[in-house]
Amino acid sequence: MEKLSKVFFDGREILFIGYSGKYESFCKSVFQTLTNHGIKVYPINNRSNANFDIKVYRDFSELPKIPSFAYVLTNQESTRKLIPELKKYDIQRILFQSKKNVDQAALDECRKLGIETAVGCPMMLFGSGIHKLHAFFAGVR
Amino acid sequence: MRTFPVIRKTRLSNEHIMAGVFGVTLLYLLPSWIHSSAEILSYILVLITALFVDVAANYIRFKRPVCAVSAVVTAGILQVLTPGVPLWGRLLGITIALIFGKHVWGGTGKNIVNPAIVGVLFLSLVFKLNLPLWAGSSWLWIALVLSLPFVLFRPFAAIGLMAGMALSLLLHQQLSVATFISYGIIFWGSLVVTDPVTTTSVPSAGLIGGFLVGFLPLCFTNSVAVMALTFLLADLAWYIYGVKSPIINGFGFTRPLKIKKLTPYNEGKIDFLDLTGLGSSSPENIELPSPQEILNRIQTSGVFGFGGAAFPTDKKIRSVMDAGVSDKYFIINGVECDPGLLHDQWLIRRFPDEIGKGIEAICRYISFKKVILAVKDQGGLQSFKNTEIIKVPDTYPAGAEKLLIGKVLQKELATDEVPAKKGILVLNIQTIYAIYEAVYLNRQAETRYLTVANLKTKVGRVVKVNLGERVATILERLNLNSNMFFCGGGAMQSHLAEEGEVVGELTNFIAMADFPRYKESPFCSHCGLCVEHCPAELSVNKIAELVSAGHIEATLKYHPERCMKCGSCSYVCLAGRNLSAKVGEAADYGKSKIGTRQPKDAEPYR
Repeated sequence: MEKLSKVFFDGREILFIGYSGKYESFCKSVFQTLTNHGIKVYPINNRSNANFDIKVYRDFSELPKIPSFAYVLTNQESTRKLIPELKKYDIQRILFQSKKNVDQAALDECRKLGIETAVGCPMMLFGSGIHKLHAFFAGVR
Repeated sequence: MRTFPVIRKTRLSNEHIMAGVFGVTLLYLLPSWIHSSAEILSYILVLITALFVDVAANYIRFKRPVCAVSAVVTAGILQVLTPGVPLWGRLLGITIALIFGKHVWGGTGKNIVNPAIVGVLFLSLVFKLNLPLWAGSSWLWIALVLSLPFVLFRPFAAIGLMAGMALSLLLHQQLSVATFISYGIIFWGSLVVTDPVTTTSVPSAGLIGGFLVGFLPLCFTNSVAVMALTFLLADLAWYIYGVKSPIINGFGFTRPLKIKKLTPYNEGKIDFLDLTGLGSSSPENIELPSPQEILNRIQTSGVFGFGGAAFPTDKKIRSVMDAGVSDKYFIINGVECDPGLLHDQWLIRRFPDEIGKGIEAICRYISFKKVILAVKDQGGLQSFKNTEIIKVPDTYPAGAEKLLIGKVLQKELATDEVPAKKGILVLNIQTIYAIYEAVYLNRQAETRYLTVANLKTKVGRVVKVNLGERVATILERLNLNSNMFFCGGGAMQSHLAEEGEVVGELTNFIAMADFPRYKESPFCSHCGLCVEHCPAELSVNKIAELVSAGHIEATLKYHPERCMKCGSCSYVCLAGRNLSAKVGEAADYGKSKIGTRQPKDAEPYR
């Protein structure tokens, strides 16, 4: 597992898996912050029927383009099922929001498949205020 | 996908404002800290307790940590209003305040009584607290001055309360600058009664309630307990009668928005770029065809409403023609109230002859009692034959069809009434230009003028494009390179453009911009700005809450179908919520149901 850093976002494009209506406030702030930093975000949620302010794709087939970097905000069980599919779409790097979203077995699976991983909130890198404080305590720069 | 304003009124949020209130309460505590440093430690412990109780209660409710700034404000107010109370009492007081004043009602923004006052009532009953609260101190002056801006949140209640307290002191021959300060008149009036969650925004109710809370307790007793009890009774009364009570309804007011327009490129002169390569033709020496042929050409050219509705213009004209009224009116909508649009004001000045001929063509087909050109700015405007020019106030929104009819003709139309069927034809400037092209030049409505803006620098230009042109291509040709751009009806009604997005009949505006800051905070502070700025006088926050909770059917009693989707509510919301999308959802539902409702429900559009 890699340490979270801006290098992860070098491709300037990211797949946001698990953009949720339940946590819209958080998801929207991540979307807004990344896009305002010039990163193209493709949000995806295959379960939600919610109407969002932005285009949220239902599945991979709807996506106009599949980036090589994914940010995952699903529960551990969904994440485990998701990893082989991400490999199928040639995802090279995955950022998991927290340990609540990924267990050690899934991280090991990623390593076996040659997918680079990191765990951490992207707001620590791109957010301001309290997110910077979070980054300081987490040792993220 | 929903639309939203790509500009916001302020970067301030409820949390920023509460942090401001908290900061001012610290200044009120400063004299006691100078007097005794133990008070600082006491206050820190009260704050920690407040945070712990609030975070724990919110975690139980939401299963995740949420912002607890309102709890520290409660702690600050409680500390200021209960001088001399021992630490254990304050710890108990803040716990009671937050549990019984806030969380039993559903948490932040749901409480019907002021939590701090619940704590004050408890402590004043236990410790027999009396007014005045403080000895006069010059240190308080800074706090008093900095408190005053918060009056703006509930000005009528604040004025009522301060007047009531002052009158009471006057009757007891105690009114002086020293008592004004020591009785905490400004503190109660600026920081306590201005809590938007529990105090009504209705001027009459706020003024009367505030006055009674200020006057009655102080007139008969100095007891803080009586003051707090009266306060809580007023909170209950304000909650029971509510904003839309039949008793006080009608005393409210709405305040139109004033939003600064985009700056044109080239310092005042609007820049124009034609990306179609078609150019424009001179109107000279072209004969006006017969009335029937005029309508045929409008129909065959596919002219539609360029203002935003995209309704077929020939059908609209036919409806006006067939309307069974003797007095027919023609309103040319040149208002262009959206702050992101420039092209209508440019068109009317750049092509006055063509627009004049378009007006003439319609007037050949229908005989109007009056032809009116409605604009916000008459500067540099040419007069048109038999057309009266009316200047409408420079507010947003002003150009919505029924709103404009109300302003220009002083006619109120019910929600389900169609202006064209009442003999009122309202056409946008660009639609009239398209009519000119259709009637005189036999041109198809396949191009359009729109405004392309760079909202990072707040400048815009007028661009003529083909319908169906890719938005990304247009921006590339204008050297506006970004991976994020917005398009829609205007800066107040746009959406994030998709990669293959093309210019359609509803596209009036394309912009390169940062994503606007929408926090989508779950906590509404009931500041009332959304209601205050709603041109349709809707209970915006109530409708939005019902839609969020999935109770769209329940919104019908608030008449969401009157919503004109202007985006004003999203633009001003301090919780950073895209309210207009939610109200718009209810509006669409309401409109789909309107045929099934009783005629009495179809009230006039105000």
